[in-house]
Amino acid sequence: MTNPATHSLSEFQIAMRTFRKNRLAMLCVMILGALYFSAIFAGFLSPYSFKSERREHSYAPPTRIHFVDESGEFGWPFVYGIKLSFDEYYKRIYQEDRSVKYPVQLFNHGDEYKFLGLVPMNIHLWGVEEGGAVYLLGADNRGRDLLSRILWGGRVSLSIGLIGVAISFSIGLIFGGISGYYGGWIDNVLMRVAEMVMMVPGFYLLLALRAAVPPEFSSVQVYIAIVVILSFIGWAGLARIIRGMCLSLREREFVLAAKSIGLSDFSIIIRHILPHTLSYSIFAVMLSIPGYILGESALSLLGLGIEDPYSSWGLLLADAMSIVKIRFYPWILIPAFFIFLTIISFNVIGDALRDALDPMMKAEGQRS
Amino acid sequence: MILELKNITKTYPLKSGFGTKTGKVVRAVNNVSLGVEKGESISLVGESGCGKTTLARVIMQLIRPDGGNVLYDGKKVDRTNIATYRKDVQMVFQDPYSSLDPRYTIRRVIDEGMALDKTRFKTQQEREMRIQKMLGAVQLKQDMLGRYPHEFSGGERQRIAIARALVLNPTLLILDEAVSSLDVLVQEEILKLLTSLQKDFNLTYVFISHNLKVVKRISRRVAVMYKGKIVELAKTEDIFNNPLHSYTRDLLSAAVDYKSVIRDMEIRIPDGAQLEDKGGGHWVMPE
Repeated sequence: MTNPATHSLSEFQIAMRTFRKNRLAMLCVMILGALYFSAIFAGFLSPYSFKSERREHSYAPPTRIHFVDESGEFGWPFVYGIKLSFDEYYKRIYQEDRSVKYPVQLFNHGDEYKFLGLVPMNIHLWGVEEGGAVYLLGADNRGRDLLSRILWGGRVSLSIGLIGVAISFSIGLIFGGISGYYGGWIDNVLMRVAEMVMMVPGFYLLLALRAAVPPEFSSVQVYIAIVVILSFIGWAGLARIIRGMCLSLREREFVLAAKSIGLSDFSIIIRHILPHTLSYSIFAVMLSIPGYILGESALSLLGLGIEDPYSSWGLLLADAMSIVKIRFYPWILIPAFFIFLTIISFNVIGDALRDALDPMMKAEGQRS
Repeated sequence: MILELKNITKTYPLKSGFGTKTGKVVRAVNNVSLGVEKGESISLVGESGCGKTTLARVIMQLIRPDGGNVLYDGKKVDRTNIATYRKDVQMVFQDPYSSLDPRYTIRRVIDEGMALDKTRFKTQQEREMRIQKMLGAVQLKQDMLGRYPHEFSGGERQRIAIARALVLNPTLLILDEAVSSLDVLVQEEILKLLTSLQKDFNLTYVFISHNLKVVKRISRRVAVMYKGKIVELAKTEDIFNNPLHSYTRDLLSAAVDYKSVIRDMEIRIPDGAQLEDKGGGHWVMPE
């Protein structure tokens, strides 16, 4: 504390200061910030829409962007046209067609999309004019730009973690809070329910619940169903931990003091008990988001999640299940890198938060 | 009589290693009856685990007794009048480090009780005035209000806890080991404060302690508790000068020199024994 006379910091604020000093964690915060930013503005940042396909460019390799033209002059970046030919095994061979040049355009007009899902727009941050094609990270089997699909897929993959965690933590906190505060038979009933959910192996429960979703659901409905399914599996573990904390917190004297002042049970749980599980919950949230992202990826990988033409990172990876494709079109593995980056970031942030919040948790008697 | 305890019993079931009930129980408080006069200060003393704190929590209605009643102003305290009872009876807890919510500023700690009572403290201004007054009463500075409990010493925290208890203008204050965790000098300060507060706010104290010196300073009557029962109840000077129960004598001599007590023999309390009047308000449990 620099100046205690003018400033007063709560223990939580002190913990956040420690967190900000962790360079690696701050880097991960920035990475995640960039990923979420790109997902939110996917339509604008990507040169194409997630469903605009050009079959003649199936598995086109990453397009090179040139800065130096034939005469050796350095100038505005451009791409060449793509020339398709076949070798003797009818394997597609893509070559640069040096006869046509397409300069990279900023704020060009391209595929229609809805800005932030609301405003119809066709301006993209960058792209090439009609006729040319730019695939910065290559194209998939239907000739769709992989970069665009990754950015659009990030919307699904990144949001599913947040929404899933929000749902399952609300359930977990309420269940755990009530169970721990009241104890007795309420505790017994609620915890047996939680154990029943935990008892079933997660992945099979996931598949079973997914099978229960009607096949005529639209893509958005499937997405919502997946979020609900994932959070239905995830809440039980948290509820048990929160319940354990509440059991010890309700004996703390400030809880008794609140009770003797005349606060209702509900107010005590909301104001004095659950906030003290927050330090744990925050990093538990961070460490459990990857589970949701992986869960969605696993479902989509198996073809049970998001369906074509919509995009998610897991779905994009489903294409990479064949070793032959990886051998010839290695760029289809790039979505895995994004999953990896996201999960590593969440884990690093989670660990850093745990370190920063640890003194607080010790002070609150949650760890010793 | 402002507060009357009638045959309070509180038992806890003993559990085996597997968490199943064994059928045995611990009698934390066993058939205790006690009357508290308005304006007096009465102390409950006894060794750790004798049921003092359990009794305090039963009085506070924080735990429900298995048997017996708590009467306030002659009326039985139950669900219907618990809200008014809570305004009249407040408690200061043992550990000043855990009795204040670490996430609350001092202002919020003190304000919380008033915020519930909309009829008495209508406006924000009224509440702020009351907070200022309480802060003055416990001799804390104004600039402390925006700070968090972890920035204060034990003595300061205990003053804050007292301010929180007093803000609702109670008539009865239960002090559960309120000075035990403080060092001797701070103890002295808090005791002085409590004595002057008693005069200023016309308070009745139920003072719970294991420290006989503190008890001697603050209380007019003393009840000695042993194994969940009151074994002796008398005026303070009678307890100190003329202890009648052998446990009281042990306790007093232990206060001077703990080696002087030879406790191979357990003091037995006969079943169904009642306090006997020895005259002059001196009650003793027969041995």
